[in-house]
Amino acid sequence: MADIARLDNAIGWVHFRLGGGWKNIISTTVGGLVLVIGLIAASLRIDPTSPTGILSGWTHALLGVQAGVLILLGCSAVRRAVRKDITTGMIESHRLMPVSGTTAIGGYVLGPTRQAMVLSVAALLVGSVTAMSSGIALENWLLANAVLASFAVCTWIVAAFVALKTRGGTGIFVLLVVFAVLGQGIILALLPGLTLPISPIVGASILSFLSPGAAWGPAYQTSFFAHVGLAILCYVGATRRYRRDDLLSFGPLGGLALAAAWAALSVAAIDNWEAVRPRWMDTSRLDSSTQLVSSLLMAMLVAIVPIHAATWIEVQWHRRQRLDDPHLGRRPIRSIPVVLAAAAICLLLPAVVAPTRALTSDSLARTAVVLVAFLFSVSYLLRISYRGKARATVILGIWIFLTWLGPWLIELVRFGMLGLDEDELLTSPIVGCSPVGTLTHIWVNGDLSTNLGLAVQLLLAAAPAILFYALPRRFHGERGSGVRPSAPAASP
Amino acid sequence: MEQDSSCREVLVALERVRVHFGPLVAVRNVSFELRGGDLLGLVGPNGAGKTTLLRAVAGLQPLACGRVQVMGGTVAPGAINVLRHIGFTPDTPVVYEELTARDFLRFIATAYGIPTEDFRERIDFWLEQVWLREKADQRIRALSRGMRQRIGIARTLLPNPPVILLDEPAAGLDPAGRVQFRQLLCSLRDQGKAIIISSHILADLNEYCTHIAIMARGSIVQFGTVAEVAGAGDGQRCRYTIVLARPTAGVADLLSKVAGVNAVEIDRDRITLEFSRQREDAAALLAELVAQQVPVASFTANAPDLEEAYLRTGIRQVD
Repeated sequence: MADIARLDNAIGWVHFRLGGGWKNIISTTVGGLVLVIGLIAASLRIDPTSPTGILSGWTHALLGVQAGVLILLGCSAVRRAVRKDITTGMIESHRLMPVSGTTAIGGYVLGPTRQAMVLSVAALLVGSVTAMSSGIALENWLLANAVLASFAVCTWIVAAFVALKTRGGTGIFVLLVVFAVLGQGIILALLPGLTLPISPIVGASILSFLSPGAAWGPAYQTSFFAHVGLAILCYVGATRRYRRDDLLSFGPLGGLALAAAWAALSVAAIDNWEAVRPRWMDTSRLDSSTQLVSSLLMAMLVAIVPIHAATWIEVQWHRRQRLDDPHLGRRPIRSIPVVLAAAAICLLLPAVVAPTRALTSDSLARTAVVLVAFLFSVSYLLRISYRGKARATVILGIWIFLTWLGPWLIELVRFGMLGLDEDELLTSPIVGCSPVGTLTHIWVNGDLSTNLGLAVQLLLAAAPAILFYALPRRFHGERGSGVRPSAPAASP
Repeated sequence: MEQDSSCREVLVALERVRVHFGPLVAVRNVSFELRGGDLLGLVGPNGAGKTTLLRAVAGLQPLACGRVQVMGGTVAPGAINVLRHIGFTPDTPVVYEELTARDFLRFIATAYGIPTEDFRERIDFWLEQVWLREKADQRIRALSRGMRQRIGIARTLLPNPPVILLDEPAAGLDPAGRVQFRQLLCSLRDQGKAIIISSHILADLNEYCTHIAIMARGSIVQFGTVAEVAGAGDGQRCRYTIVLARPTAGVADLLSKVAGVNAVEIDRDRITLEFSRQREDAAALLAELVAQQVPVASFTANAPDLEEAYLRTGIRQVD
């Protein structure tokens, strides 16, 4: 780990050089400093009557600049460096070098971002002067910068991870922002676990550090730990992905850790919602039960990650076994225990944050049935698709659409034709046949019977399992390419 | 140069290596071993699986089955102590075009942990070896394809790996470069490195390889020393070249009537044909030609070569 940040980290060094090296950094930083100091001096000259107010304004503005430089410039530099190495094929040359994945990702994170770091230090120094001159406590200014820096490093690691995984890293980021902004941030309100890591920007923002009496309260502490956890997970995922394209970012254990992290983030965010909520949003009408259900549904989607990993590894192992691989290795962990573990992790969410009135062993048991049925069906669908040539994402997407939203669509059409109202729709037994409906009935609507819904979901879960065992057990690609006798083994 | 192979250490061992691309089996159960000082030429039509096999040995290609071992360690993603023993030059070496050749090699030297006090000397040495000393401080972007190819070779050899994999390394080199490259390869082979080279230039392989593997449709169809592969096939027959004093009409008809003569090719005053390897039979054929007043200037049995051996396998371009 020690060589991640070393100056002779080869990948960090080369991307630093490719970004222009010290020459470019010094010229940009000096130019930026001259511009900012010139603007500050000009604004003081234009309105010499209230220098304290102007400098306070500049301190706030500089913090905004810091955020822009560290997050936007930094993430963009990391993403560009990783994508460049992937698209040119240079990453394969790196993979042959005796550079560990940990060191390589360290290089990708710390090499291309040196420009942003130096600019940020310059802004920190200027901001320290303006803060002290405007009566803002220096420790508050430094604390705000420290929180921002921890957030920025987390975003750089996430950027490296996303860039290694997908081509459209920027597209995903833009999509997230659009989703967050659309509906006045309703996604952020429904998924508090998503809001918590970005709370230094949208919640109890770093700007509030500059107000008198601000302190490093529980919201910041929680988000700091969220950043550390998220960064570790993404770092490990990026490291695996760096080693070879076909490796899964998260194995079964990593995936379970990801699901646990989501559950922990959601619990912490729902408990501290007032501190982390977006400042522009009035969430007084939002019930924590609704947040629980939406977070639980998201947890079910996140739980697909370890199940996908376990299923993939299991199917690959069977494939090698059928090819009589002399170096087959130990049988990997089966997917069914992973399904149960993932369901147990998801179940922690309602167990910890559910309102006391709703939290009964019956409601937990019913939730467990929903979780296990869904994850079990996912496991078999993935096994079917990995064994054949169907795309897993397409099959899963269709399955989730049909089972989660199908009953709602049926009821929406029926209610539209009959002209019934919204409350009746939410309490409809047909809606209760989808996991969304059942969980809403259990945790939001209270005493509604969910027996029909649970029975339907169990039946639906059995369908992929039956299909899996009914289909012939031939792997995609085996026809016409079966194992032949060994090619001439030779030893010169 | 030749040592008893059993005394030399096995540097590369492939055991039932199989690579799939979806339903396509790109490499099919390939097994062989190479020892220090072995230089294996990999030949075959486009799409035979040569590049995939080299990538599999380098650990860049996931295996559907089997194992590759280099110096006793299994090649796997992230096995940096094994991967450091492998040098691989792809057919189009990837370089950072914005860097100079020297800076690029400095990056490689840093990554391989070559001590700072050594790497200047080593970079200069390899720049000299690939004839790029005078271009060392030019940006790679400004260099020709052949020069980039040489930088790719220098990148591979700079860390001094005992196992070297070269995919069509001479493709971008000029004639003088090829000659120098051949000398370099012979020198590396004599240093005891295990080298696998994929190439379509069989005449070159004939000169410097110790072993040849002919690949088709993912499988190795022939493997052995150059002499074994070149001499393989019908041991009773060989090709002859007959040079006439002048182009002569009717020779083709005459030859077609001689029992055992086939694959006759006539190019003005030069005839090549396949016939019995027996000296008595060859003498009888020559006597028959002379008796028919064919003006034979020379009559030579060709030494077995790789091109012939390759053509004998009947491999056609993969669809």
